[in-house]
Amino acid sequence: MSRIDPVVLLVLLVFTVPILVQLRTVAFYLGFEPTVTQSIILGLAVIVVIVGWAYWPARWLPSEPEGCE
Amino acid sequence: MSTYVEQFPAEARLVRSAMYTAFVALGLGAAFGLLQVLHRTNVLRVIDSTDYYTILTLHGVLLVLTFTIFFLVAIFTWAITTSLDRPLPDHRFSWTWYGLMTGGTVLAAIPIVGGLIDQIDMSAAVLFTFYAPLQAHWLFYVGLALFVVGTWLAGVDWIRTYLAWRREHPDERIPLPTFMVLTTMGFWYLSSVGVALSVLVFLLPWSLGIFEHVNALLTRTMFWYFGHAVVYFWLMPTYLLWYLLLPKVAGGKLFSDPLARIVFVLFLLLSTPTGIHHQYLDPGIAEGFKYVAMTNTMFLLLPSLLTAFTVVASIEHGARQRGGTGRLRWLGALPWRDPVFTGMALAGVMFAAAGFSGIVNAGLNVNYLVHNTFWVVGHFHLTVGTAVALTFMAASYWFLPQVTGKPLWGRPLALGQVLLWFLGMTFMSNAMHRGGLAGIPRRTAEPQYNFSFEPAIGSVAELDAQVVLGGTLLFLSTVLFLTVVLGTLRGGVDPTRIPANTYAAALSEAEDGPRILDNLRLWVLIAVVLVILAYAFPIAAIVDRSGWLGPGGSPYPQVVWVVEYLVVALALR
Amino acid sequence: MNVHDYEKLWIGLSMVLIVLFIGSITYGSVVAGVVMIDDAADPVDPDALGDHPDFGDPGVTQTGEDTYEVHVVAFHPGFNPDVIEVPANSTVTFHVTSMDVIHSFSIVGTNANSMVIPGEVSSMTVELGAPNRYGIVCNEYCGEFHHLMEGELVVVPEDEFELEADE
Repeated sequence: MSRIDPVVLLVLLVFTVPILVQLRTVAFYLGFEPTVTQSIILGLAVIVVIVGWAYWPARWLPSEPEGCE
Repeated sequence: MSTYVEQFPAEARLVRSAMYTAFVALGLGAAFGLLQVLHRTNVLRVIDSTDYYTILTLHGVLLVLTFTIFFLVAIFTWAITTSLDRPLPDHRFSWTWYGLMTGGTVLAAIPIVGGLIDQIDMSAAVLFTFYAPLQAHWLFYVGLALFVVGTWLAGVDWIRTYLAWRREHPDERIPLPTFMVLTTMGFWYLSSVGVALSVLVFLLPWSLGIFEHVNALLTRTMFWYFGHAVVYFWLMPTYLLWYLLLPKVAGGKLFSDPLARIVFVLFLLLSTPTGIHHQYLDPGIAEGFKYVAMTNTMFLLLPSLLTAFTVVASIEHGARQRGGTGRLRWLGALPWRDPVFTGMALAGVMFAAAGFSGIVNAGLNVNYLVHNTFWVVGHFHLTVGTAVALTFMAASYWFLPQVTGKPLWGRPLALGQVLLWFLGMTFMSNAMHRGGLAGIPRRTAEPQYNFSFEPAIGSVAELDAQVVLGGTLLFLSTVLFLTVVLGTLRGGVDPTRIPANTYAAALSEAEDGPRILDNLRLWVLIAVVLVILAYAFPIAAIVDRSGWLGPGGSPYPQVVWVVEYLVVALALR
Repeated sequence: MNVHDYEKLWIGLSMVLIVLFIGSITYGSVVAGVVMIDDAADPVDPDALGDHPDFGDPGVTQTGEDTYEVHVVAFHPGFNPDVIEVPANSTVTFHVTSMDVIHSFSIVGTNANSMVIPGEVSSMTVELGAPNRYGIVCNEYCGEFHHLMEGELVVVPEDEFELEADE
């Protein structure tokens, strides 16, 4: 049971990718120089966080009806 | 309420045929694209580097002329007949222009493919831009001319339909879809005259040996006189879909009809007098002419920025109709499961990114840094390669059922397809832009020289890996698209499962706008004046410098030339 | 015609943005002095470059204390001369033309970049700093060996520079 529609989550993840790719540019600009492997790991971590957020039980919304999925 | 094929069975057949031709070109073009990606990056080389340019010519011509323009005639035929609610006047005439376009494509393709086969003494590895004195076999020019004449006749067909409607409805506002078609055709006639004259007056006679030489700068200028307007010729059907189909599938209405008209009028006025911005680094053209082209180009940002506003506002309206609330939470209420919506929305997002790299290209003196580098390839894969191509593919998922009566097959696959395209282009285009900044040239089989390129961030190997990853995903996405198309065509006819053939109504309707917007004669007249202002002096100056046929020079390639330079090339190695 | 307030604001901001873009380009031309490749040089006959006073014998010539001129002929697939040697801390004007098809003369990693069109001469002046080596490529497709077309610009320390003797 996810916080958002799984398809919306998928689109969100796809949309995150260009941001992650460009984050590498920002990192270089700020003086960090991550390797390709580090960048990929960071990207995967962000994706895991988003997926985790989507599927983590929302305890502070105890009795809200679940989504249709 | 019924589907298009029920309303206009004969036109649906024409639209179908044009779409299928476009899809064949898309499939072939994508396969050639994959070959190039793997070749350039030295991952897999199945062709010789000398044949790379023939493959590149096919990739360019098939995708930016055949795929886009065949899809355009399909969309425009649909737009005219649906919005005027009347069939095309003469079906034999319609099939004639379709035949001319198809025949032209085939004739142009023969010498290009001939370049790959040693036994055939023809070639046309001149790329999409065919700059003289690079010379193609005369069949290439004939094919090109027939194709363009085909599009002209298609325009005549739509204008005749409009005029017949006008006689019966003398006081009504032009329906928005028809207005879009007519303004687009206005600048298409205006601009394609340039390339037609270049081909018929100079290049074709020259390829037949009637002239010894042509003026390289003049024919190049005449190409770009058309060459930037053609970009908007691809983009206008895309905008049409963003204005008419996207708000509808989002569940809402178009924000403003009059502003949509203003946008199309601006494109009619400014598409053509900007072509010299492709020639910022050309010798023989004064800086002042380049400056004028730069300011015109910058003002072309306005209609695109207006479009961004209208499209986002229309989508938001749709989301709120669907129960969306909040400042940004409404985004979640949009129909993301629908590949038609998601594909077009993602295409729009990428077009915004393309706008940024486009400003760099348009910046007269900034252009020195990126001109003809890989950056430019990254730029137009976001524009024509995503804003246009992805929108067309997404729209196909709506149009195919309309013109065949068969419900869409494999909707989840279709959704995956548009997402995959977005992912692939993210990597490929990013790496191309970066490579261009490091000076890697476009249009080259082997960007591996005796010196090395030094990207500001990362390495060339990293950029190559991104290009390969992106190119492969894009190819897979194309295969997936064609699979969905074939799956749909194999299915049975069932119009009850297909939405009715309609387009988005407007919140602010046509009547809110001044009538002068519909005065097409006036706008075309102003467009002609602007073109004369922008081009009369540069053309006169070029001809004054070195004559209509140039200061001399011979056509290439020549047989002796090839042998001679093979020796030089080996010596240089 | 009713235009939504937000839309009026958007149009206004768009116009400001456009004017800023044009302004920054104009600043680059007028104040920073970035000169465009233009029509200053007279046309030449690409078939008779051998008889041309400068392109007949392309290469480096000194025109002032720290100023040099380099004439280059582009052809498919190469540049003549293919290695150009100039001293550090000098001002160099390149004049490039083509004896066959359209090429480019692009010094990699810099903004010295120009189309090279048969019949026309591209002239560009660049300031050179410390000793360095730059690749030169043709970035306009010019034929089947296009990818072999390259040259080199070698900026040598001033005391090591020697002008090639004119024949």
